[in-house]
Amino acid sequence: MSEDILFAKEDPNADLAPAEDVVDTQKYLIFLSDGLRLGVVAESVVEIITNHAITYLPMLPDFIRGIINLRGQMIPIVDIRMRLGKPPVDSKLVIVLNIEGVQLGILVDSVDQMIDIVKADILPMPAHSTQLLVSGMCSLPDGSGTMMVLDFEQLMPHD
Amino acid sequence: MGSGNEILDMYIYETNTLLEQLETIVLEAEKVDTFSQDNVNEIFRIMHTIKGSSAMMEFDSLMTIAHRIEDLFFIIRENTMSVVSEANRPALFDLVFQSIDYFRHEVEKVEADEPLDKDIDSFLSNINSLISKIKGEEPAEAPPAPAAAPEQPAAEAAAPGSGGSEGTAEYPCALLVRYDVGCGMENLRSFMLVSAIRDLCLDSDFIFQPADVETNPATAEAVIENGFLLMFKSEADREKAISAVVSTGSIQEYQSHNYQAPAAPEPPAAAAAPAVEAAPAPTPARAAAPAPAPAPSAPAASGGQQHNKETLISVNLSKLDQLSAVVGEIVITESMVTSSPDLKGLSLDAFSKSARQLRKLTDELQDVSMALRMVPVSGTFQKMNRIVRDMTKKLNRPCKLTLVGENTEVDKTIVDSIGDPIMHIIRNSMDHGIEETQEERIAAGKDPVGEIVLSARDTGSEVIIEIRDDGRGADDSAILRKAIKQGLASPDFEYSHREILNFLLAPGFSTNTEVTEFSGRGVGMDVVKRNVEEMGGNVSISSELGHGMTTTIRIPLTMAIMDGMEVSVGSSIFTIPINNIRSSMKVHSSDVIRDSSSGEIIKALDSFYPIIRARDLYQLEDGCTEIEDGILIWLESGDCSYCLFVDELLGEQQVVVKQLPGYVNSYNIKNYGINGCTLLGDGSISIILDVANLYAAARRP
Repeated sequence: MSEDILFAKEDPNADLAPAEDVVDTQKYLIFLSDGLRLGVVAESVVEIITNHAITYLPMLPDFIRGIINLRGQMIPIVDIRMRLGKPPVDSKLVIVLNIEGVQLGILVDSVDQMIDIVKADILPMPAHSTQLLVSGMCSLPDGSGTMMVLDFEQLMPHD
Repeated sequence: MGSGNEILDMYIYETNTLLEQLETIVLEAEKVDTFSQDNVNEIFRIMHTIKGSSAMMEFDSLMTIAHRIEDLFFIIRENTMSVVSEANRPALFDLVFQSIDYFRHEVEKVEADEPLDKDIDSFLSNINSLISKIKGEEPAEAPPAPAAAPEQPAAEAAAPGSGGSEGTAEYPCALLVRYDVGCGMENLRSFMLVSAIRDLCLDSDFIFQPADVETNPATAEAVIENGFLLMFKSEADREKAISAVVSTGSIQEYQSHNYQAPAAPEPPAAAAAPAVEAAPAPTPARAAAPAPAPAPSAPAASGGQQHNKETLISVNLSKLDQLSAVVGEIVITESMVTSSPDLKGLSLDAFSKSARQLRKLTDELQDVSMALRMVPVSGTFQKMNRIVRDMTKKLNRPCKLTLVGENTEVDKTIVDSIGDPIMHIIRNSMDHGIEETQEERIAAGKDPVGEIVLSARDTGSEVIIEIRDDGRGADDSAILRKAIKQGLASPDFEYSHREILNFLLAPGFSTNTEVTEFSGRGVGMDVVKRNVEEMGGNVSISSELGHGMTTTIRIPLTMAIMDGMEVSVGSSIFTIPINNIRSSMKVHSSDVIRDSSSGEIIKALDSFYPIIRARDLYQLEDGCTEIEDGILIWLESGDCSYCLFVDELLGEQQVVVKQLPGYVNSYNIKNYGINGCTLLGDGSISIILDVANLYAAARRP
């Protein structure tokens, strides 16, 4: 960003940088789970994988479906539907996230789109909302609906 | 300061290593109540090195003490141990121990960046008084024979070049080195040259003059004027030294001279000092038996030490961890490639041949990479000698420590953490185990001198460390009384002998009401137990009243790779460490005994064991329910012994242990015996079970 501004100053023929560029935006990956459009910051997405065999681990909460072997690395899989308290469906689509160094896979219904969101457009959840796993929401610029921002904090285990 | 710290680290590491060596030597020597000539040379060398490096680091107090002890051993070296009368020997040993403690203490201060103890006068005067005591007897023991004792001091005193440049009778092969004019610091260059030669020849096989190039900057002048003179006992050593000289910079020239025997041969009185007699024919390579040794037992030990110094390098442990991780991956990948389903039904002769070769090499690679992390337990074991010695003196309870299997190799991280538990157990044995008086022992028909046997052995999958004393043993009723008092046991319950002994390992249990200096400081065997369990091992105690106590520590040999048995329960696959498996058996439902709480029990080899069904414990969705359809695996770990019911044995496999992600570990599944996981040949995941925790989980209501 600062490079753009610098560049603009050096080039007298260029117009000032367009206002949108200065606006603080962030890329989000939107996925669907139980009809909800949920978004995660694209930077934290490691990869999207399908059809990986999930090994069940006993003695864990239901929503942890088990672990997968991703090139020798063990990654726990959280079923977003079950985490939201909904019955599971037969999906094999996993988004692998890196949340502050912790690798975590989330099992989702489908992946929707990648989109730039102006940070200021993300609004807090209404007070007394009982929606789980969501830290904020925003209307999509193309008018296709509302995105809910996945709350990483709630995904992490609490003791 | 980066490089400065590195030098300091090196100094601390080196000094500590030397002190450990020194302690080992002195402990050995104390047993036979004398220092062999090799011991003396070694101690002299150690003190000399400590002196030199302390001087370099400007730790003057350390240098001064090392210097005086070096002086003391110089006298002994020149006159042999006979110069120290029987009466003075205990004082000599104590002094050396004191100095070891002093150095350790000071080095700790250096490490902690604290000021050093400047007040060393009383310690110095201790050393000095011992020196003068020994010196007082010196003339009677060894008259100043013309060639023997005064030989070296005389050579030192003689102005270089004044006839001495051709060597002496004892060191006939001389080598005169001259430095480039004006190269500066001739004294230091000479000392570096001496250090280089020391790596090639034995310390006692050559002398040099001026002898004080290391400490006396004024010698630079003498070196410029007369050159630096080295004198060797043998031609071979001189050859080696020349190679060192050639590779040193700023050398203008070097000349070899040979000593011409004087007309009158040396009087045979020289034989009084064995060191003189010893002038060997060409000394063989340094790694071989060093120096002609008056004591036949010593050369192997000291030779080994000197040899080790040159062949060891220290490597950061994290690099080794990385290496073993990569090697583990390679092993798995190798089996994934060679047993790839794509190859099914193809006849690939050349491929199979190469694959076999690859397997052989990866196996070798795995062995080597595991061996890299393995170090013998001897270092840790040797330290215990000192503890037993000190406690023997303090408590006045004669006791000897016997070490068995010191060469057993264990993972480095285990060696580091096993010391404290062993020390604690030995202290306990000394303090509570061994009888207070010799009369008591004699009355019990035992050797008046107590014995503690510290042994290590390797069973292939685990290391077993045993500390056995022949003391009083555990008094069941006393332990039970104590356990009841501490609220650990219930007074109206019958406990078995084994259960009672287990109270010793319970937190908050300490049988001794008095707190002594050595044990009973509130931390008890439970700390030992916890430490060992952190390493993945376990502790058990066995004891018989009047016949001593044995504490056994079992630790898996390496935690990275292990032999496991793959078993299936429904669609889940579990890995059970082979060393926990006693046997497996197919049983009929009529063999199973049911108790009132619907638990199941099976009889095996005249004992009864509970059955744990893996499917029920882990609430799995599928798996056998009829006892005839599955198989029982008889498992044992520490004190728990039970049978696990699973569907099927899939086979034995060497597996690389992987930790479960922290995310799932935070749900405490380790408490349910789920300890880690491993990748199978086809890339699927198997869960590694911890036999002891699984049992604990099943017993939990």
